[in-house]
Amino acid sequence: MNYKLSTAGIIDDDQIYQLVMKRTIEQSGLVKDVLQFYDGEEAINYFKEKQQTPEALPELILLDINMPYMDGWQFLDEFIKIPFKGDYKRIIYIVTSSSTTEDQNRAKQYEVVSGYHVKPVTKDMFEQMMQSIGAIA
Amino acid sequence: MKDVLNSSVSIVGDLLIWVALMAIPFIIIRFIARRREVRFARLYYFFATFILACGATYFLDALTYWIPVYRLSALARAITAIISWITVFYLVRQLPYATRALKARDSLEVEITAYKEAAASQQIKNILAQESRQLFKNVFDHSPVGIALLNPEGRWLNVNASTCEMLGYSKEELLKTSFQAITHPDDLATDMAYVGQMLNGERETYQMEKRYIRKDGSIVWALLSVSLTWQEGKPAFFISQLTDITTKKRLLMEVETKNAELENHLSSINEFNRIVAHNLRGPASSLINMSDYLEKGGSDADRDFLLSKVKDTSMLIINTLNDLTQLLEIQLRQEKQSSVCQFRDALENSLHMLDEEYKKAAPVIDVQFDVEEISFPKPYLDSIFYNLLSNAIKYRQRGKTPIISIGTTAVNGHVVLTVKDNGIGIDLQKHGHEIFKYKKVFHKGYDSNGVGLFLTRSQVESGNGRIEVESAINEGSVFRVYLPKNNLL
Repeated sequence: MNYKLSTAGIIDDDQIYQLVMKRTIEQSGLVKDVLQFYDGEEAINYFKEKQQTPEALPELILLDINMPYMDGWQFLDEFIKIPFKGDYKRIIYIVTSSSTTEDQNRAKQYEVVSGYHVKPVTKDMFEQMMQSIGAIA
Repeated sequence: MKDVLNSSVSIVGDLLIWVALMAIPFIIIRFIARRREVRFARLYYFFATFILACGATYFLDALTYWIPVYRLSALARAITAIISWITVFYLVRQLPYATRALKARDSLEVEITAYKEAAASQQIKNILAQESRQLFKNVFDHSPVGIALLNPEGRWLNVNASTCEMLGYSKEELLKTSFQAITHPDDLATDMAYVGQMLNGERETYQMEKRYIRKDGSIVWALLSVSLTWQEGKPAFFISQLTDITTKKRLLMEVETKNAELENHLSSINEFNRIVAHNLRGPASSLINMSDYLEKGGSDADRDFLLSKVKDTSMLIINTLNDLTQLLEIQLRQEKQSSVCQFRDALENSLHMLDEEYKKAAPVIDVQFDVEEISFPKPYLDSIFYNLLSNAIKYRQRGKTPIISIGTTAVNGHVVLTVKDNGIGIDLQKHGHEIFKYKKVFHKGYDSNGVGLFLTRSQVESGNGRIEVESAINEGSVFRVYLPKNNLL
């Protein structure tokens, strides 16, 4: 298969969303592996651990905002501080159930965030996401 | 004939001179006799004698016309000469004293004039002073502003009717006490600091808004302006002017309270919006995701997994809805009237509500209620106690007896409820901003739902209070709940 991306990471505490999203990505045939994290803390620990080998880290990150222990904002605050080795190319999308302008404006303040999507995420929406990645690449 | 006439004229002249000269000494002696104190009395006597002697020579001259008493006449002349010389000498000797006496008399007169002038101007001054006293008295007596004189120690020396009316004491009662005795305890330190600066000369006047406690125990707000009068380099008395600003203050406070309530409501609406966006839309959208996915097939394992989550997710929605209803009820304060609650009762109630598991942890609870009661919705106070107490036990350190201190103190118009534990603590650097937010949990491996502290905060804020936390990891947490002491204005 000719994958567009090697790894995508889903950071979300909602188990239904996790499963449905994982299957959607798999069925698109555009991504080789899907990593799942169930809260921000779990995810940030993984990124910190693998900061020396960014090639093993997800190129696409789908990040939820509202999560226990460490929410999406706290994850981003920690993430941008990690000194990844070499040139780690990644795209972060916020995928949340919140459509409030408060959250959308806050997301814009993070340079590292490429887009904001309101749940539920459909297959079409995911394909659009992938297309815009293609346009960037 | 001509000779006879000449001689007769001479004789008559001599006699007339003699009589006149005899009269002068008598007049002088009478003058001396009439005056009680005569300076230079001897000089007068010498003059009298001298004039008498002169008179005698004229008499003897006249007598020689008939009787030739030339020797006697010569003797009289000699005596007159001696007396006149004695008088001259005496006069020369007394002259400086006499001049001085005259001069003294002159300067005395100048002094007397000056004195008279001074007396006149003093009289004018007195009239003016009298008038300004009268003016001051009029102002003092009839001013709508309270005016009072106080000694440097703060005792009332004089007060006008407005002061009495404002403070609710009679003049006699006030003069027996000091301003310190009837100042609101929370305002005393500020006032005393100003008084200290005034007495040290660091400040000439001061103005402050302060509270006095009236005789009936009620509180009156005053705008106080104070100046200090000095006499001979020492502070003599304070002049205080008191304007009653209670009504203004009460209105201002009402506006502030209403503003705070409005702001609270606004932030509640925002919070409500956030909860709907995340905690309701979240599970609802995952149900949509799921049904979309199931419509298109999917493996049996996936179907089973997803269907098993339907109930959890629906329950999540219902629970969140219940929490929101509760939140709204708290914020609208429906059916939750304040009543006088005993802190001890609230503690007892919450201890009864504790889970068996928590009771088994055998916490050591130290209780110190300096303030025993408060006006607050009773169910909320019980709930606040329960949440703080159960958290203190839930987040205990493994293998350590939970030691919990619960107490109340009065601070600046608030009652502060403190719950301190020796538990695992919270990383406030990380979670400080969201510790009281909905469904925020900070510790893995604990059955936390992130609702307890959220509802606690809502309950506290619904009573215009606030909640604060202080915490250190592995040392413990201190929660402080500030509740307004609503019996004071």
